[in-house]
Amino acid sequence: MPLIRATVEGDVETIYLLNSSAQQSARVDTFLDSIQLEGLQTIAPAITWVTENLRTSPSIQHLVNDIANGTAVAVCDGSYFEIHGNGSSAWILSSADGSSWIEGGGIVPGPILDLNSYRCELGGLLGIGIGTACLKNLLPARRHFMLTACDNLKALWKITVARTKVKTSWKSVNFISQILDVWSQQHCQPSPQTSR
Amino acid sequence: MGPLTFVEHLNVRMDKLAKTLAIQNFGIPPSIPPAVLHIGLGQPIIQGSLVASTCQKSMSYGIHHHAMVEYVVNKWELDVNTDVNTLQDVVSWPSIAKARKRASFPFQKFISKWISEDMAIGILM
Repeated sequence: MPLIRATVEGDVETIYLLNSSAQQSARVDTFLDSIQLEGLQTIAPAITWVTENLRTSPSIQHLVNDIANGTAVAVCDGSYFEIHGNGSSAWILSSADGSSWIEGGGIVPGPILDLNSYRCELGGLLGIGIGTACLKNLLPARRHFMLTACDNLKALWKITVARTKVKTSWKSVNFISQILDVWSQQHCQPSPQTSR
Repeated sequence: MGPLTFVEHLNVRMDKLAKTLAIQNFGIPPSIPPAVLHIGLGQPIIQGSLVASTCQKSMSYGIHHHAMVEYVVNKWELDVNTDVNTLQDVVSWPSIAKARKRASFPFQKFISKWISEDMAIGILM
């Protein structure tokens, strides 16, 4: 049984566990199951902030074919404004010729103190994973790869790290765990490349 | 320098989109995501603050920071009602943190004791 909630208190030397949830309550699923993208029935995004500004080309069939053939390209970027205390991410899945695409983006959520350019880039990489997961039911059930590019190498290499190697001491570990989880649930796998 | 590659072209396009989204949301604080999502690690909430990054450090900060500020206020006999908040502005905590980090282990203890005025002096030494 996973630990869902705990109440802790601490002094200078020790952290005391005062209480913890005994039963995992059933999660009420209020998310949509599927969405329509240019006439194609696709899976609804598991995380919605990355698809707040979702746009597509008039047809995405060519993109789906290219992802299946391993010739599609995924690129993301983040933007961090320290003075204004906000950051955003944008991502795109594109066919090899650029004629068919899906793009999205949103404001990176979380505490302002944790916000930085690295977290914004990770947000973009999460968007790529979520966007590809939306097309899961249209893609072949065999392992295939998609070129995934980003201009932050430190963030880029996190998408292929083994899940067992993830450390909770890492910065923005919540995004990293979400990225690894979303890729682990699909046959399409990222093939990282720097976009510099 | 030659023309941009296809990937670089897409990167420029995404940079522009990300900047546009950020600029449209200036002045709006980022939302706080739910602690438990369908995917990824669950995130603890300590005293109302979500721990989303560097978990051990953030949890330790969330639990101990306020208690430590209160301790120093009492130690230095400051006015609790007014000085708890201003203490954070008056004391250069980043400098103290940097000094502790760069010091050797014995000196780390020295700095902590010096700040808390808990230093053994005179006949106590």
